[in-house]
Amino acid sequence: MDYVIYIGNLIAIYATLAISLNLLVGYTGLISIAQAGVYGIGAYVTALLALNVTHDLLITVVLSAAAGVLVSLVVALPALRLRNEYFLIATLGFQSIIFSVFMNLDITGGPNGLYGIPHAQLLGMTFKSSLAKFLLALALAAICYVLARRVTRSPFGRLLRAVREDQTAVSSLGKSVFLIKFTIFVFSAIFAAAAGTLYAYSITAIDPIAFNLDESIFIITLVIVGGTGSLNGSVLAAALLILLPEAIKFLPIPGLIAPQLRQIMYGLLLVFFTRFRRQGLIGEYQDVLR
Amino acid sequence: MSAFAQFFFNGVVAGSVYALVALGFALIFTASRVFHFAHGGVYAVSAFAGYTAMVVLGMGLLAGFVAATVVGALLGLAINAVLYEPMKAGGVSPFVAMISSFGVLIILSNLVAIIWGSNPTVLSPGGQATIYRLGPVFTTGAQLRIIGFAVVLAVLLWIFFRYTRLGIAIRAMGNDAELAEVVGMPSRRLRDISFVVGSALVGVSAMLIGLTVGIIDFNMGFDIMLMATVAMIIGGLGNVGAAAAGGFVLGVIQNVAIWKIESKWQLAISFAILILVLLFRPSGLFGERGSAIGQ
Repeated sequence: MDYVIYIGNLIAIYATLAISLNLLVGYTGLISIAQAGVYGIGAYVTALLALNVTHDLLITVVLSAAAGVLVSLVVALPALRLRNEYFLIATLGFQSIIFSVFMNLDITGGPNGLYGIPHAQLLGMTFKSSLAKFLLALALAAICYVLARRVTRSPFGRLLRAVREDQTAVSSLGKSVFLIKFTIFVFSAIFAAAAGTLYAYSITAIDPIAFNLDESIFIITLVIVGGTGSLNGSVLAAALLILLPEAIKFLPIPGLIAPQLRQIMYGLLLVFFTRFRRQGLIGEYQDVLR
Repeated sequence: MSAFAQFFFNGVVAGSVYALVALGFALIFTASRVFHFAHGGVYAVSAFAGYTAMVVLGMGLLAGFVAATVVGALLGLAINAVLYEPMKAGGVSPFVAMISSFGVLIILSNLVAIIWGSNPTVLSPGGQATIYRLGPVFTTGAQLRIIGFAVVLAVLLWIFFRYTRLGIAIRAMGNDAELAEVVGMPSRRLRDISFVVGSALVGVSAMLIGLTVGIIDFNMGFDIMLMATVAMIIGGLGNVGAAAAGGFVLGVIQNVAIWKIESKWQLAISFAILILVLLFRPSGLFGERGSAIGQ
């Protein structure tokens, strides 16, 4: 039973990550592959605070989100000047630098990472059981979903789509494209970092591998499979892509090649959807990826 | 001073490795405008095909190179035919093909792990290499060979693109595929040729690099692709010679940097250079000004 709840926890965390990235990819047309890096910043800041200062949930979430935003701005400032391929490659660069920092610093524990992270506390409650952790992750995913829905349906959301469709037109109306992109970057980073906080608390041990390039590609796969510009799609894709490998565990496949098979499956999905169904499972437009 | 010379020389060796992979990558980019990350997957598969012919079947060094080259060429051609061409025909931009390409890289790397195992595999038992002394630096025959190949191939490709009809046609098509077709160029065939040549090159490179390092593994395509990307961007896009030069510059900076900075920061330094170049000199160090970057 604990295992089932743990899977639910993972789905909630990845749904949050996919929604946060979809705001960039699907709504604003910014294909970033540094999301795992921002997620990792949240997880590492939380782990360091919890191990050394406090494991109060509210304080750690706020500080982790602040750190995530800060790092994200370092990424955003230069990267936002670039378009498409070059934006993607710049974020790829930042992803690798962030990973390298996790891997090499002493305070992040190097390749071993950090472990023995205490359970989160809030108003005297301790989130110790897997059920409590799951409910926490579910709450974050729900908040993220509701806020993202409100933002994307607001006038600002229309502006985001306008940036995606035609930047020049948006600037010619006197709107700052840079400021629009910047704002959505901050929003996205807050939730990616908060997902990192909950990940650190639920696993209680983190290492750099959980936040590497593969992970960033996985999050973008979630967005594309679910459908760029579809929040429901991101949630659906997170559920499907986490559950699928679990289902495969019941097939008679040697355990040694299971991780490779999972990767191949994700790779195939990415290729299939970019080739045959660019709107994803339930995407808004076919031509977000064009 | 001699320490610096040694670091610099090591940089040239590393740079040759990056240049060899960046050459095929840039050739394919020039023709198709796709950032063909799956090139790294082709690199890994070719290395293991060469290993199978040379070590497993014991057919010798030449057979190893032939197997790696043929498998690389066919695989590159297949990826273009099955994935990129249909996407292009459907009006999908090279940018989406680039994202697809990540998927292919993941698929190929993990297929290698399933077929040949996920542990590092010995391609050539090193250890007995003779060490030569060139002025202040020490080197091995394998290192000199790899530098030689990288320089010769880079020069040959540069001449090819500059002076031959085929090379100029491929460049023209990369600039404007529609226009090239209007004036009667067989653009599909030109792209196929570029994929075959670029991928055959990466097959040769995979064997050369594998023999120098001694060990190959299923993940080898990922890191080398990242470095080839950095090399191509800092060299200058759409220009094969510039990409190779970018590879050498990257190798030298990486290795001279570890003279003063701990080597574990090598990767971070490379990407910091990438970002600086993207920001301040998007046409690359050796590329023509006014390339397609930026807005």
